[in-house]
Amino acid sequence: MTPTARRARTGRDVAAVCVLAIGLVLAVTAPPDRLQGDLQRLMYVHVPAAWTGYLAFVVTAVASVQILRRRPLRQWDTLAEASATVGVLFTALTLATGSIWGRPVWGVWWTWDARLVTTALLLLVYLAYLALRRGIDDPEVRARRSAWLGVIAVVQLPIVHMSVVWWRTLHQPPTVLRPGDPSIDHAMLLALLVNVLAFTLVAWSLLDRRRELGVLRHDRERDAVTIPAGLAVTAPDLGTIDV
Amino acid sequence: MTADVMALLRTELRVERRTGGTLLVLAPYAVAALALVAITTGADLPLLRRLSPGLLWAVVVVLGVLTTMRQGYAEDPTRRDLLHLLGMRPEAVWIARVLAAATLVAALEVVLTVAAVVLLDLAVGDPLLHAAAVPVTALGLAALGVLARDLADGARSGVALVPLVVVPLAVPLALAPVQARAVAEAGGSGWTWIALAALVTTVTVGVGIAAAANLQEVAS
Amino acid sequence: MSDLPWLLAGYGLTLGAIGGYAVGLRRRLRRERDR
Repeated sequence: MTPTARRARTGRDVAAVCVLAIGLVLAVTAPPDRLQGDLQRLMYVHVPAAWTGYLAFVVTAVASVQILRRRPLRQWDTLAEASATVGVLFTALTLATGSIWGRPVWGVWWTWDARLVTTALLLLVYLAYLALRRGIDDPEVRARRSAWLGVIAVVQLPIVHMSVVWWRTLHQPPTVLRPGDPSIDHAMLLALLVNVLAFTLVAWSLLDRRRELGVLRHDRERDAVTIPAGLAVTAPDLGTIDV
Repeated sequence: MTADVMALLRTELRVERRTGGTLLVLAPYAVAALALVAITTGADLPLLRRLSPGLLWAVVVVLGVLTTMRQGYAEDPTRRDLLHLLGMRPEAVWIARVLAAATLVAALEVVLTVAAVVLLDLAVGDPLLHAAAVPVTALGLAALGVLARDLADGARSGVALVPLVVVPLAVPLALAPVQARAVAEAGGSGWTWIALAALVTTVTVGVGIAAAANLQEVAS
Repeated sequence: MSDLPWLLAGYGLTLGAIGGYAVGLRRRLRRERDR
């Protein structure tokens, strides 16, 4: 990595931590909600986590399209994989924080809120994506097939979300875990936006590192194949839980 | 290409009839699933009647996906390579496979509908809506399943992967018939829900056709 | 019911998960580089 790139990366990482700290302060100092009180502050982690999870998924989808367009796997397949793993982290956090928010406020660990349902389905699809990748050894086959899964998922999930939203509006009054309140206080909005930015930067840092890991592995795999004795000499990486 | 598709479809259905028995195994299993629900919920018929549309279509999706994992003629990758060599386009093979699977899913849906009427006291509602829901959902489920199967082909834990991939994306296919019926009962038009299911099916078929040739290249 | 435990749980989980993942990544990167 060039010195400039390294410096830029460090700059970004530092910025991520700083913005996260600012976001934390804002989350603590923002005025409490009229109805939910302090519990509503969980929105400042739940919503950014959701946004980041969806964003990561879109990145995986974009990278998947590039893979199908025969762009270099070293660049795009590693991005797709890294983004998916980061996406799993934030999507799981979205569901967990949603649960932790919901329990004291409405007495239930899960509300069949349309967005939560879609997020849960998104997590399942991510897990399927990662499981598919783990199950295929050939790098070319793995990249191609998971790319198609990425594409079909990103195309179908909006329709899935639409159907779930429609279903819930037919059978339930508009729900609760809704930060898009038109009368939202400016201080709360600021706290929310800063935290969204913070999570995005943090996710970007994690993505970058995870992708670096993927590239190193990619190179090792590639070199193992070109050495005559190849995989017989290199210890096979049966892998730890790959997240 | 249509002739190819029809020829392969006929072969698939013939193979299924003679040696397959996918339906012979899955239909009873699906009915058993419905029965299990009735048993575990204490066979409270009014409750079951209310839940029956949802239960029916949930079982359709969860078990219907298994029909797409059947052993068929062109389900063997080696035979698909052979068909490719003989000049049959991968898209045609894919369509034929999907149509064959869809036929089985549709048959399963019919069997399950009858079972639900009997076991869960299901009231079918508008028969036209239900009749439209069958081919739309069967085709959608089949397309999702065959596509997922091709993605997971030869992968470790591929068997478990196919349902995991299909079920989240098939949620609209399960929702639509149930909601169509509910909306129709409330006086609205259930056809918009059927249209939504048709959208899912169309998109899946479109992606599947686009992917068919591409996946064939790296089939291992 | 005090709100604080829930807030701590939510924030603790979030920051802990992100931090833990970051630390784990660094460790894996180091191991991979040393191969």
